[in-house]
Amino acid sequence: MPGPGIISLVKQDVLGKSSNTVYSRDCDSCDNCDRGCEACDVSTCEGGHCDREG
Amino acid sequence: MYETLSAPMLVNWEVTQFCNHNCLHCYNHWRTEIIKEKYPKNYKQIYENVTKELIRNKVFTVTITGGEPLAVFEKIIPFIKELSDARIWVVLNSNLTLLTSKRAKKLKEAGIRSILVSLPSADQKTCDKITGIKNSLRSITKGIRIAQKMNFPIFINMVVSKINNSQVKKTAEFVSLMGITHFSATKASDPSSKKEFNQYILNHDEFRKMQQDLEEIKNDYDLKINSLEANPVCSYGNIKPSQGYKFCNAGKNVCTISPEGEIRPCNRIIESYGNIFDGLENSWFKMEDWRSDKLIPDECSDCKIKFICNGGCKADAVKANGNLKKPDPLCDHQYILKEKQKSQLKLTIRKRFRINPKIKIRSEKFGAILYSSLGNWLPVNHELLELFRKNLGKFISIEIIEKSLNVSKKDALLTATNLLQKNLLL
Repeated sequence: MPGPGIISLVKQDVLGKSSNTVYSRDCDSCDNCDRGCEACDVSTCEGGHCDREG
Repeated sequence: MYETLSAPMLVNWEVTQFCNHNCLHCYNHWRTEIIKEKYPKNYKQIYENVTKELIRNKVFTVTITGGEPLAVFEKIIPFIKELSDARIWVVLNSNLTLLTSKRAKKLKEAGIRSILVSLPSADQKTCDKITGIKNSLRSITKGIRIAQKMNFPIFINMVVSKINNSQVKKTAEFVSLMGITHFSATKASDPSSKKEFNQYILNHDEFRKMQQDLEEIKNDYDLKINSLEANPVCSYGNIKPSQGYKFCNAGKNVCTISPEGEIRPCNRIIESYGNIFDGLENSWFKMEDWRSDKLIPDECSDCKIKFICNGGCKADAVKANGNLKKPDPLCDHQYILKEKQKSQLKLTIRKRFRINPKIKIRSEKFGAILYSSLGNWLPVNHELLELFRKNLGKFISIEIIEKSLNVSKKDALLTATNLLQKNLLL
């Protein structure tokens, strides 16, 4: 859950339909990742070469 | 549905089609034949335009890739410097076999931040078999040593197929002994250019064994582990990968530019949406389907995270099933997520924070993206943006966050915790 002011780039509502960006929402579906909603927007595949921290 | 950003966050720039290796698993779609030309005749014009467009569109991160980028070292180095000078975070994907001390110094001076090195195996015979080059392990290792001397952060990626899947731990140990701290094992995908590789693709059990190996490597060798493909969440079965899940961001916040300036959603997708000479945004806005929910497979309809997972890797779906809307062949719908789980985020106990003075801010219609480094960025609304703009480099208290966002202390702490995790607050 990202916290107020931080937004999710994935637009959806609690019913699972697409809608406008929900601000300050408790991440309803991607909590499963244990890293918070923002991880879903940030982690990338980059086509096979990617995601590092340096 | 994914928000349409003004431009990609990250661009993979394929600066050459040429490679001195001929890896069996190579996903470059053009590798149906030996490439002899290192760069197009009008390369200078293309490189200049790509650089100009990346800077003009305020792209945050550029991955210099190929082919083998060091094959065009002298040609590309001035443009890497230009991108770095414009405060773009530039990283390199390379096999490093063409690296010399002199070149490493120049790469450092040009501003390369880190290097991702493909290492197929710590076993010499296997390494040679995969790369198609004799003594490739020795030449890759030599390049890594040179890069280490220049203090580049090194990230090793082992592409795993049936050819080398028994050597993941051995390769991780080799990497650890070299003093490297980051190791990725990434399943090989079926390349669009090579029909015969299909027999070496990992099945579900082998894929999960690779993930189990990674978990053991993390504990045994104290390596930071990763896996670089967007594998569907259900593909892991009952395993919960400690590196977290990755989701495809092709056309959402990532795209690829080819050596000829053609713009594609990702390295593995062949379809071009336009050329850099027509502007980056022209192609970017045409990738609307990639941001929509149109590509979510029907088979994923009951999944709780279908809007984020999107059914895994689209390039794998096309290769296996000939259709972007089909599931990734690694999808295993018996493990589909039907229940959400709660996050374990631990709130900060701090009450004062400094707003990182080095962050970059890119305005978007919803507010802005705040960026501190590769992988460390967050989209924020106008209220939080205003707080950052007014206080850049200054200390702020939790009460200021509460007041600026008009929220409770607990909610303000939640926001602060996430901002701290991304180095946006210090």
